[in-house]
Amino acid sequence: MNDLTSRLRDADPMRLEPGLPPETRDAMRRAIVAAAGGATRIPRWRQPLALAAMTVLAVGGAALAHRFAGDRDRTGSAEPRVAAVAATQLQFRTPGGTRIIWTIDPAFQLGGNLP
Amino acid sequence: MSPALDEVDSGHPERLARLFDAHHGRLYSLARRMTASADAARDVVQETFLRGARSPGSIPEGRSQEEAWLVRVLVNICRDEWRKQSVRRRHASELPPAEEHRSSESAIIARSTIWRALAELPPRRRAAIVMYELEGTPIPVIADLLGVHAVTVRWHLSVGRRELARLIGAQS
Repeated sequence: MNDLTSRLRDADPMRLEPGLPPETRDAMRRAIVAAAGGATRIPRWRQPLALAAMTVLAVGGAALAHRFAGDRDRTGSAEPRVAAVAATQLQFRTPGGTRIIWTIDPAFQLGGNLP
Repeated sequence: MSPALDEVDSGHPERLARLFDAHHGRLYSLARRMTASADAARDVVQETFLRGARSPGSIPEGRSQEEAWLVRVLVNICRDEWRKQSVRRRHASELPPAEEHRSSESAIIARSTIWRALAELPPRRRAAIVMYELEGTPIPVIADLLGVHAVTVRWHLSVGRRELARLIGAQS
């Protein structure tokens, strides 16, 4: 045995101290078993099920998001149509409350044939 | 899926109790030799088993595999603590109380010298030294327990001995 080994063994706390007291050991065991019992855990047979559910949710969410995005696009495209319809009208207000509205035919073309 | 797996899950507290009964003594010895006080060793052992309780699926089956897993977790806990306290450890004395040993002053000084030197080693190196020098564990077994190659254990032992000799020489 070399000098370092003998010095290490001489300083070994396990040689100089009593080990884990029984009451401390029992208290530690109770705490660990309680922690193990309280740990929430998904049983292994449910793990593929949970994975499948998460996949379905993700795909469904993506589909819904895509659908809403399509609706938003359609809603956005309706506004110019209203504007286009409004642009084909000319309104005049005259004293006395009379309102004159000219509706211009959208198919009207300046270069068309005269009647 | 296999119903046996579900039985393992439902018996988790029992498994932890069995693990504790089988390994607490060995883990406490290692923890006590890896830490500065009995209280710290108790905390480390408890935290090791609590980590097992929190992630039961990561504990392998089989006595030697269980032991290796627990030892690695314990050394990792010591390493975390060692990193946190590295600065304080260099400047403060964490010696065991002298009255506990009921020894002569020179013997206490000699023990404190080697104890301080051991505390300077990184935890994995310290674990290798403790297991080899104090527990008499063969190098291949230490390698399995620490999850490293036997060559790495030999390197830790060699470097650790040199560092201990240097630190002891510097302190005495």
